[in-house]
Amino acid sequence: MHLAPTEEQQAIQSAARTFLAKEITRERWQAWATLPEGYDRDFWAAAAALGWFGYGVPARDGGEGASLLEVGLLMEECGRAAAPLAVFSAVVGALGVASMGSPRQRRDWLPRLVAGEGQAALAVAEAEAEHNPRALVTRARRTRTGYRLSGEKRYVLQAVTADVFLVAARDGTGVSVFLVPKEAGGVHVQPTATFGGDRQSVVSFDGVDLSRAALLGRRTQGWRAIETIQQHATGLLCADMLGGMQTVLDMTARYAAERTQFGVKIGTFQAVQNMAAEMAIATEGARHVVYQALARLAAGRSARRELAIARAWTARSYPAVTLTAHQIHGGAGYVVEHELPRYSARAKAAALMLGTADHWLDVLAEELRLDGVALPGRLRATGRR
Amino acid sequence: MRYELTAEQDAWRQEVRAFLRAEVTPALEEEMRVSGNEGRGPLAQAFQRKLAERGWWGVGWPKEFGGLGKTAVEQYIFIEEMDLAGAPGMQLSVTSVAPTIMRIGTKAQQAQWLPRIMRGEVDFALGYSEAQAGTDLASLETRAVLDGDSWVINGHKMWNTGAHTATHNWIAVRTEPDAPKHKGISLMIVPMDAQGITVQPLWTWPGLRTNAVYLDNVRVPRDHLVGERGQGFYYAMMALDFERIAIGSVGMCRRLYDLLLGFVRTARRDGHVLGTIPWVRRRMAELATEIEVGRMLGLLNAWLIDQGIVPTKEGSMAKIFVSELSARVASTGMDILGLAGQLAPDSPAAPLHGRIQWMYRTAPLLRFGGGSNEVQRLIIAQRGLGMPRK
Repeated sequence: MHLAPTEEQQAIQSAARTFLAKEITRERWQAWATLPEGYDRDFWAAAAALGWFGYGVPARDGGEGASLLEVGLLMEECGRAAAPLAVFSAVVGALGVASMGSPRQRRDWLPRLVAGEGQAALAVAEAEAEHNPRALVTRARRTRTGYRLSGEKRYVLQAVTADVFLVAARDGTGVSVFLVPKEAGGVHVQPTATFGGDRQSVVSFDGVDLSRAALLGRRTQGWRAIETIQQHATGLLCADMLGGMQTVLDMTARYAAERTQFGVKIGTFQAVQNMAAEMAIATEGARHVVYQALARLAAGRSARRELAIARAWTARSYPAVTLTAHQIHGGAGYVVEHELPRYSARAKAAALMLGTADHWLDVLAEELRLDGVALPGRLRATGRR
Repeated sequence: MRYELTAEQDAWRQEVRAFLRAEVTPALEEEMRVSGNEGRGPLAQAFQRKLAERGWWGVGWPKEFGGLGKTAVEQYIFIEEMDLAGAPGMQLSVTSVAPTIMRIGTKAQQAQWLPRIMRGEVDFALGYSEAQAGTDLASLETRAVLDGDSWVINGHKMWNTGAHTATHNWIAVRTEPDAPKHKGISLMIVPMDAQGITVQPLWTWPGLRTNAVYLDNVRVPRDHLVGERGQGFYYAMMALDFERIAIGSVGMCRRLYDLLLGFVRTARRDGHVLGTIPWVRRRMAELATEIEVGRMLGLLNAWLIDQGIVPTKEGSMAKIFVSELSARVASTGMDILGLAGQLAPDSPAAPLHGRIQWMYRTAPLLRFGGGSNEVQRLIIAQRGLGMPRK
């Protein structure tokens, strides 16, 4: 048991923190807010030069082979700095191609993804489908030379900057996943305005013809792989949220120690101290359930229970922490020039992404075998180490 | 970062668990239910003798005092397993008084008291609070005046739990009336059979007895003052820190949760197994989430102690979270049990022996006792987050 980052892990975080603090100035994030990409090329090139996009990609594919937990440390820093979610999206996309791709597909795509010269994006959710593969409407029909893909994906992160999509589609009775280049005929990207300010789009596939080589993983058996990728993505998103919670807590404690009303610092008021203490408990709790889940995922162990706990906790507590921060900041934190609204919006948007707290509580309820249909050895819900 | 127990820690957990599985029998549980805190029945005493034989009486005591010298994480594991199994609680003599004597007692005092505590010959109650000194302990007024070779004590103690069954009282008294209020307090051992002591029962909501204890010209030998004169307030705070490893344990929450889990998997209402009803599933999942968060905070506190770090805020976080979680587990548990949740333990139809409703009544004590949660929140804000006191 070691409940803090090792020295090496601290070094990873500290380097990322220094880099992001230098890069993401107020002028910069204000400028990025107006760009369709959500960031500028210099930032992307600098992050790529640090090896971020191949950090968790296996060494055989040209990456650095860091564990998911270490990638989580990096994502925590991105969340702390409210870095563009494009980084998260690109990291997840590369991990997806690395885990599902054939040698040929990995050779074709990963060098560019690792170098930050291309991006892969997950395209799973639809207007009426998130977690149930049977509800997917996007469909692949077999053709003489491969497949024809039709349907519409929504909430696709960074579709505007992605070069290739990992698309989950109905294929007969199962789900197949395809690697679909954006430049393929019939792919259309329509950006969506969102609450969180992240870059999402509707991506439609109007009879896109794909060769057999576009199939990612096993035909009709793709959903399980998608679930695994989404679990990893969820763990990383939790780390991002943890970082955000810590920033919001820190900025709030600092503000309360500086702001004077009634002739005293507002941080001396017990009501304010109580709220801050609650924020601190939520954040410290989040840290350890998140890294517990990431550690299990990184070790390749089943982590559905731990991930559900981490996700349910962060999805509820990060938005709550930001709203308490608004209360303590008052008007000062309400103006768009202040950093807080960036975090508050990101918190709630992230709480919707990859399954809400309620969805993950349902998952946890399944894991707990509440209906009494218990599997041998799984009777003790909390008794597991 | 590693979240799994080490092989050694896991072996310790298995050892404790195996012992408890064999020794916490239904008969012992029944005895404990019936006796409340009216002393220990024969089965509880036999259980404690077995603990003592294994040296598990002093799991965290240093080896030179006959303890096992286990780490804080191992102590946490021990306490969590004890609570989870519903074993008789560890006595304050062991968890609070003995470690304090080890730290601040003279060699003679250590020789006088520690072996007797270890053998179970003496049993201490803790008398800190008074009618006008609760959370603000430093305002206590009970006086002790040196007269020849004796201290003469006058005053009273409130919430002096166990004073009616204990052999000794471990009390905080004012010995330096002219010093600032935090610096005028000393710790003293008072034999309960001394002349001038009156014990009156105070019955509390969960049915547990505590006491008001009146001291009228009670004389105790001069060497019964432990540690330095005037430092008692700080020693009392230090002793609370020893207890905080235990207070942050989610063992009791897990015990109730596991009972509830067994219940919802089989009990039916309106034609449905409870565990198939959406709101029951949601609330059970929420509790499981919170129990895991609480467990992490408790482990973190213990782990930091083992790293040689004095946890400034983590002990308070665990205390707040787990005490308030206990109330949520009990309240949600009663909701899930429904109308049967209100049945008292002596009602044969009471599900889970009425333990859930008992916890509903016990949880408030966890929240205001042991350093009220409001004070803990100030500690987090001021020491942890650097917020200003003034």
